[in-house]
Amino acid sequence: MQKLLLVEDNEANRDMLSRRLIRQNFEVVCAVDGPSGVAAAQREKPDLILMDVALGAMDGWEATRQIKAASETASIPVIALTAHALESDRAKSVSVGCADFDTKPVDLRRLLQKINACLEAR
Amino acid sequence: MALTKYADYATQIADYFIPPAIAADREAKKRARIFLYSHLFGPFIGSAVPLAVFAFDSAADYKAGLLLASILSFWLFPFVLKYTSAYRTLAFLSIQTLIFAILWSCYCYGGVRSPTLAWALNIPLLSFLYIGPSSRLRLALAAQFVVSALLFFAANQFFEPPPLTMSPIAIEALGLVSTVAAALYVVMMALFYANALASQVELKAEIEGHLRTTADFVSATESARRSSAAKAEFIAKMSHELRTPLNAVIGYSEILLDEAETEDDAQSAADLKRIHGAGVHLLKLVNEILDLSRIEAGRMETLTELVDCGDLLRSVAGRFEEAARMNDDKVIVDAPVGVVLVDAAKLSQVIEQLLENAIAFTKQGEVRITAERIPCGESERLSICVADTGCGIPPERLEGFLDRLETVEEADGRQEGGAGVGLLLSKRLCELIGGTLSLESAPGQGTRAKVDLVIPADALERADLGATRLGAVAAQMRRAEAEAKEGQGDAKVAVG
Repeated sequence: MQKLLLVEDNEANRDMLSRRLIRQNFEVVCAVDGPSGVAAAQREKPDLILMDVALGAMDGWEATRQIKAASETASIPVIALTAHALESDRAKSVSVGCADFDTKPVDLRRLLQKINACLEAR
Repeated sequence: MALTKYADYATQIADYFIPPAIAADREAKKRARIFLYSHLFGPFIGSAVPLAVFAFDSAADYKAGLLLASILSFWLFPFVLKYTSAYRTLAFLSIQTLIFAILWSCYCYGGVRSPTLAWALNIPLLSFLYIGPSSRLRLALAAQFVVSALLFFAANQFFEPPPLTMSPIAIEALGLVSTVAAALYVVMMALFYANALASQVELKAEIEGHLRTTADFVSATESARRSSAAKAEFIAKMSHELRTPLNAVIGYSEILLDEAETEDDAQSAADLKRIHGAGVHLLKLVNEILDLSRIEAGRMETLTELVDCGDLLRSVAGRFEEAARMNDDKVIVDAPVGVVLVDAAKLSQVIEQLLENAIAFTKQGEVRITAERIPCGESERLSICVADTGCGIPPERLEGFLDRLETVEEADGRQEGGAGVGLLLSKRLCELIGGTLSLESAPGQGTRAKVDLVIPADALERADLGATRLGAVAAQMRRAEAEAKEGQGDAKVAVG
């Protein structure tokens, strides 16, 4: 079973998305903010990370940068989840090393396609 | 320099009495200033004459008193001017008072041999300075002089001038005082006049006025910018605040729907489908309204990229497979236009909206998406058309159809709110990426929605380059693939 790390600070969003992903036969671990997301990536070595970018003090971009900077987690693909479908968000997700980006609210079918594409590419 | 400074003070005092109606006209203001100089400061000099009479003539009586009163009455003029603005009337009245004061003093103190006659020279000097270049007024002034002179002559004829009560020496002393005062008066007026001509006050005031206007303009611009920034900030915040609860509605209803379907609970599944559908619809509306606001606040970003237009259109059409199947529609994409440089995300959004409408209004018909490149001078147009065979739009509703936020009646008679927001947004998006959106339709003849984008010449070159590059990459990949296959083959042979 593939293991996903979901970094999301909103409780409802975290609960909902993790339950939906578990129903799709993924193992899901969650983190509630940037620093614990970086720590969880080190500890759990997930197959893929879903990173909310609006996370408060340390945002998802910074957390992704740190994950990509550490040699043991650098190869884990990260999909950024942003509230806005802005071109600047897309450009930023590329610049910090995200494999892909998607907008919230999540369209599960579309997100699953992106997750599977990233996992296959690994 | 010091003299100029005092003159500037005098100007400030004079300006206090100039009413706004006169201040607005620069020439009128200059004349009013001269008028005010002479009325404010003249009586100080002029009153020297009656005062000298009182000093030298022990028998001085009401005659000197009347002269003094007429001279001091000039101090009333500035106040009357300030509160009535009746400059012209006052100018004539002032000249008349001056003529009276001078002729009265001549009548009382020696007739044509009077030592005060020198003041008569000031009459034309002042009056022509007061009234300006109008020849009609000058003529009126001349008439005033003549009538006054005739009256004086008549008065001299009918009324015996009073006998002189002063000694010859006192007369000579009065003559000296009067002449010196008259000379001083002329010097004062000449200086003021010269100063008025050279005055920088006007220019300074004008510059200050312009600076104030500029400052007002800058502050207005700044406040507009701030309010626009506040609006954009509000939109960004609302965007987050609205999406978060919607996120929960859509997500949880999807989970429950999934569970209901697994457990074969048809009633719950139907209800949840409605909740989910309403959430998705609301989210679409929210997104559209936020996008519209963002475009209006000038905060919508654009990003052009090289895309294969046919791929883009086919990928959009792919998202509507299910909707088209439900309406029994055939969707055809015919777009042999190759790689173009456009804002692909915005173009997709527009085509998606047009396609959604086309399919919604068409039952058992055909929706055809075509694209062509049309040379247009130095540049080129990319024209994309979404044509359906649906019910069409009556001509009275077609006018301004894209600009209205109205309820649109679907092909099956169902009222579908909100379709108008999407169309208005599509139009704005087209404009944002340098194009236009137009509609052609007639009842029963279907609807053709056309997106026209102008692609600048330099973008075309880049697109060609990009196409070449994409082509080269594809060729390279094919070669690599072929080589890999050959390699495998070789390996097999080797093993075999």
